[in-house]
Amino acid sequence: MPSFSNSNSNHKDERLSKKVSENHQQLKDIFHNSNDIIFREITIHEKRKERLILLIFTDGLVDSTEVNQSIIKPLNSFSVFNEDTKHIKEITIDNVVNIINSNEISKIYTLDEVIQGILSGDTIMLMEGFDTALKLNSKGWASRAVEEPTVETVVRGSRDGFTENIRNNTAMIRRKIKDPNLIIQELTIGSKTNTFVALVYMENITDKELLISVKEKLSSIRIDGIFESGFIEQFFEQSHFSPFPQMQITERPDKACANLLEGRIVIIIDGAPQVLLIPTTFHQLFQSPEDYNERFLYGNLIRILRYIGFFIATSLPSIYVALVSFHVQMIPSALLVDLSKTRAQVPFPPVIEAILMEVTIELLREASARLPGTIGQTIGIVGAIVIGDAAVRANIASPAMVIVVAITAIGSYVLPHYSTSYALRSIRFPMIIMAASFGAFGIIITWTWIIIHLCSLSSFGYPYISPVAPINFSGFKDTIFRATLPKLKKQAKRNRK
Amino acid sequence: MYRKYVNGEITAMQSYIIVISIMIGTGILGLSRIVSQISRQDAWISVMINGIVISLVMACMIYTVRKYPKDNFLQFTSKILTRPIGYLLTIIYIAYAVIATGIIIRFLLEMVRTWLLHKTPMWVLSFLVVITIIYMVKNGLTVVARFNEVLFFTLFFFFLLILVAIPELELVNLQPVGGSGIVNILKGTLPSFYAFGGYEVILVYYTYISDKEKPILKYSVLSVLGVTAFYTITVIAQIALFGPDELERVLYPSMNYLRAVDFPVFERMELFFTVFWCFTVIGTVGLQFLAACILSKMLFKTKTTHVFTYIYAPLIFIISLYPKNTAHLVELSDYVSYLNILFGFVLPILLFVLTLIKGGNKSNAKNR
Repeated sequence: MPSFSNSNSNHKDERLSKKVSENHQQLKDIFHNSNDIIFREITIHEKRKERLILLIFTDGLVDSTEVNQSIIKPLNSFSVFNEDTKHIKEITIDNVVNIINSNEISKIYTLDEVIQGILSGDTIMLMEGFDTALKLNSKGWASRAVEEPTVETVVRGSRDGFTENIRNNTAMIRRKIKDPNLIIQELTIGSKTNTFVALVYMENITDKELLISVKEKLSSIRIDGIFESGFIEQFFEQSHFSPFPQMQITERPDKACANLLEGRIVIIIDGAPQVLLIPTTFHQLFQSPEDYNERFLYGNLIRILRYIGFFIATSLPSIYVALVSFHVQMIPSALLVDLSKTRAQVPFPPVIEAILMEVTIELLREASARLPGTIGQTIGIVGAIVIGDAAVRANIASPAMVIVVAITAIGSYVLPHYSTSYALRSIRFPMIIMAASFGAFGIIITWTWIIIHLCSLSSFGYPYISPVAPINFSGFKDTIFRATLPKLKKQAKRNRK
Repeated sequence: MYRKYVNGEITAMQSYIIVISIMIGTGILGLSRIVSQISRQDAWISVMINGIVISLVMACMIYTVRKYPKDNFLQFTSKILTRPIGYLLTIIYIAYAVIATGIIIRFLLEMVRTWLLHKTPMWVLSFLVVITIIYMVKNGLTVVARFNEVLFFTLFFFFLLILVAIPELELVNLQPVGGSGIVNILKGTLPSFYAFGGYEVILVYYTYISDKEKPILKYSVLSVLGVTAFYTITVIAQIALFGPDELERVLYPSMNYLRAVDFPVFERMELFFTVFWCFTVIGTVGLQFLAACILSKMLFKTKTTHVFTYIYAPLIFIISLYPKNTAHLVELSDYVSYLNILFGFVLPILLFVLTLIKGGNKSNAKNR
């Protein structure tokens, strides 16, 4: 659980001592003799005297071969070499850089920086007689290989997904956008976890004011630890009680890159394969990279299907309940006869029936989502038998209700953005109750509430349902329908001006 | 683009949509019946003339308010007609807007009672609507404008529904064109005025338009003409379907019109119409109610409008329950339409004429 105590490190601005032994002792105390912090002492022979060098690193966070080959080996061989010939002059913190084979070396001065370096997987080098330390990049911990994203799969499109390693993730974006205007800024958030957070944006496209406000908000976050992009999302969002996600998350580098080119900001959190895209609009929830990869016509058809899916997933059960309990006259008479025949055997009113079935479906969904794959399938079969067949035979639910619930469930899976399905669920149940109480008028009122809510929502100052309201005609080229790619490109150029 | 959409302001585009959606409201239901009682088969000509006149009034209104871009309703009426009258007009407008809101809500409820829920008590329905309106209006003009913008897209569907009965139409019902006489046609414009009512809110909302450099005059007039065309086509279609004699006996011609046609899958198409119509009317109600709140804000010089939203909401709730029955409601709405004529016709023309005179004075003063 996130806690919000404000205990920062006590060693802020404390300088290093010139004596290695003092620093050694102090660091040992700070780390309370943790076993994974390695202190390696090396003695170097200079012209007339010996000099003590102390390497400190965290076992497991560093690449061992890298430390052995690039740092320890050159130092030792220098030492040997120096003993024989004795013609090299004094070694200092400045010229030791020429001996070590590390690709990233920086000087640090305070104890706090030393601690940070050790904990982030760098190797720290202290030298007798200098109050400066060297931070050598030797990061190399075990991480998951790049795999296909599990939540956002596409039929046509790239198969790589973000991993938990922030460096891999930024590299994946860099590989797709080879442009010096792509800026990756890193900062740390979390007073205890000191998690790396990367702010990625296109210097020449992203709105400056948006950037400033995002940076301000990021630096104002006070929390002990963050482990996922959701933490930042919850700090950023305008309305905590809204069912709609006000930021988008994605596991797909191609989606992140496309959004970067549209001027959005990507926030990557170390340790989470999901990155944040801000700002977002309502219509983005219905878009998938596939819409653009696939040809114009199919891309549009799929998109219309998603909007229909959204409508079905929110309203179909309530429409059914309203029709059956209030507006029977709207049902075509041929259908009405069969419907009332099956309805007559069910002892519950339609609303109880609907809620019962919907709750069962939700239980099934939750159960199968958290279970390992093979057992998840079993749950699916159990659900199919229980809901599909047994409930109808036992006259607990009418067959029409089962169809409605099934279509509703399928409709909610059409959306490419998983967080949206929470929105659908939290809208569906109140709407069923409203429909059961006030029929079609209840649905009208509920939809009015939803539309009003959407109208008042904004994501970082951008209206949530733009370009529908406020109307922006050029934005319509990529909303419910998308224009052909050559036309979209033209629009992008115009927007940049 | 960032923070371009300041809360409390609207775009020029939204102002056109406001004009359109506040005009298309309760009036459409009985329009053709009311007008054809007077001008018979030529009702559509009355409606058209009325629309053209209103578009002229609209032009006068925009012309007037454009002279006072920084001033709100209270300020420019005070400048043109002296302070006491400005205050008086604002107070009357607030009363008018509040009462009109209640009356429109009651019309909505009557429809809901007739077509959707026959037994639910009126006060429950009214309570629901009032809560919805509070939710919409408490966040100010931007949200209300956006809401109407979203609903604007459903108006196309609305329009399609009006045209469905084309194969059933008999144009013989429209003949002889002009046969009811010029006097009757002109008399018929008066009852159709109420169907167009509401556009006068632009007097209140104009000052909140953020991009006033857009050709607002042109497009506002075009919006009115668009609504006029929509109404005229509706009336033509309904007269052609029913004929003026039968039309008199139909309470809501727009509804019965849809019953005349059989649709393959859905039965009772007019219920679909009701659903879309309800959304439109809720949008209209929001706009009308917000006008009262914004004017009160001007009057009492408060910073926000939402206080007044809560103050007026119980009033509206009571007004919506006050009429005893539909006939009583229609009677009351006639009184409201007098106020409508004051704000929709007399006041704009008066302001326009006075501005023309005063504007001339000002330029003379400068020249000297």
